[in-house]
Amino acid sequence: MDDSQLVLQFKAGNEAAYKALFDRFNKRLLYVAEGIVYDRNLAEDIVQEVFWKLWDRRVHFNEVQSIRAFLYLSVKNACRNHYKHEKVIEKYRARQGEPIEDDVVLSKIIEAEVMESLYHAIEKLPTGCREVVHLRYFEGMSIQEVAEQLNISVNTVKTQKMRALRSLRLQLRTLSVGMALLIELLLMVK
Amino acid sequence: MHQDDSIDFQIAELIGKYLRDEITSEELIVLERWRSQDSRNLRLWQELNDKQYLAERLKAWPTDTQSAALWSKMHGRTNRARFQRRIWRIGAVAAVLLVAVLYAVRWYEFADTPNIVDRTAAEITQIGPNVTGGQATVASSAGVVLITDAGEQIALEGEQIHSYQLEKLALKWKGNHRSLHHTIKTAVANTYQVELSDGTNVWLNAASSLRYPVAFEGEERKVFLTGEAYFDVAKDADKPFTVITGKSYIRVLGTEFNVRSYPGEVEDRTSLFTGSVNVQRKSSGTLFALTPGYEAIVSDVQDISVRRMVASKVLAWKENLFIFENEPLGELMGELATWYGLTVHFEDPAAKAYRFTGRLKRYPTINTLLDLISETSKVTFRVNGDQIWINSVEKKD
Repeated sequence: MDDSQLVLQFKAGNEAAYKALFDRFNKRLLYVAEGIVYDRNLAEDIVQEVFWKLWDRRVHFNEVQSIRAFLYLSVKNACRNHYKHEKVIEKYRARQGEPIEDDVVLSKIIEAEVMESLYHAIEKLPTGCREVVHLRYFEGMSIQEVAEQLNISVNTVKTQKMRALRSLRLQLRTLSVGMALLIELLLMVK
Repeated sequence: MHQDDSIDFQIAELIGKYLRDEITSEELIVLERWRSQDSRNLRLWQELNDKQYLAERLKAWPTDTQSAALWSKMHGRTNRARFQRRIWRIGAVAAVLLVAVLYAVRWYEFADTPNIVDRTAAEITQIGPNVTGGQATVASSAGVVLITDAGEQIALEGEQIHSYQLEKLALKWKGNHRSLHHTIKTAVANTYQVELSDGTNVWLNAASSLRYPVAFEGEERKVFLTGEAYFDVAKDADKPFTVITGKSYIRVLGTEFNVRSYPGEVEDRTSLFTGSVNVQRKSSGTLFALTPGYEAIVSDVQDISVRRMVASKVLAWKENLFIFENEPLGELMGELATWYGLTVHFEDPAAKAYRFTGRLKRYPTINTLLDLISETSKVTFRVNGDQIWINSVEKKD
């Protein structure tokens, strides 16, 4: 389903389309909300309400971009309303020492969009590749050592697997800079 | 109607492209213009280019489980809300008829909804473990390893896994292995904190190892250190605590101090923060009582010497920083080489004498630091595997 179809279906009240939009945006919104109110439960409530609001107004949308903007702005407003709640104020002061300003929220939104794109790229990395680069970048081994290391660890495994690992070694050499950054992040995260 | 120009999605896209190394030169110009527009943009830009920050933020990224749970929570309510709205509209037209319809629909709804919700929940719990299982495999290759006397090797990661593992092991060996020791080894660019059975806390620097008994028996508490560690020793006047390194014995009762004793370095260094320690040179037996604010140097060629310490510099590794104050490149590179597990070659020996001042983060790989150093100086770096060659710019040109 492409984006324009998705929006059409959504406008017509198709729940699968609604779910698809939820899947696409909920994490970014949770990330922004939690980054502002510093409370996971509250962030979830906010995002939930925003998606309900989206459903109620579904007939007004013609493209995914405006849905995205609507969702973010609604989260922003909801956060500001909740911000009046004293508890949140306390938490916020303790962490940041500054009130919620528009540009703080806008920075957070940009950050969420960047995170989303990085997260996707990381998820796309093949697991075998991760293993090899782990030794290379994390353990600080040379390519030679990595190969040796893997030979030892796969001693009992069939020759087929050895071949697969050898090809991964080649893959490692051709990693782009961007790829290397993703792998580094991956290793720091898990 | 919902378009709002105040959210700059294009910039987010460009930063993402930049980080993934997919940006074009035209796009780079747009990005640079945005970056120089105001200080908040610049700050955001710097944060998003800091790998440590990114990695930290990626951890805060909502999980699949979290968003699936949110959906199932929303889902039931969406159905209900929709029914209620529909009923409301009909109700405006024929309020009397509604009562019966309302009951019927509600009855239907309540009878039906729990089933739907339950099914969703069941699906989620099935998805959950699989997802985490996949991540756990990636996580299992850690930079810190615990080796027991029985030769078992356990990868250590977060504090939780760590204390869980230690507890499990301690239980397993309790009673019949009184003098059992564990060894914790950190890989390059990794640090680790461990609490010993007496309540002493030890922060272990990279490429170091600490051997310690699971429980301290007898009249003395003894641990063996290679590399560098910061000790916050629990007070116990009856049981002195001794750190044994390649060159020295360091005896204390209860205090905080840092010991550096990497095998490749000519000197052992013990820096005292509070309390008092006795440093003894192994080969000559010379003993020195150190007072806070000072550090004792033990080397193979010279007897113990004492000098004032620079606390921030001694503790930089604990703060995940490198601190250099007018440091010759030769020594600076030595420090980087130890942390990252690399070998350094000076193609132009004169470059060793260049001096540097700065506070730098301990990035996960050395590349960022090398870039920073070469940007601010006349040296170039060539990296191949775990070897680094350093040349001065003039000589190369």
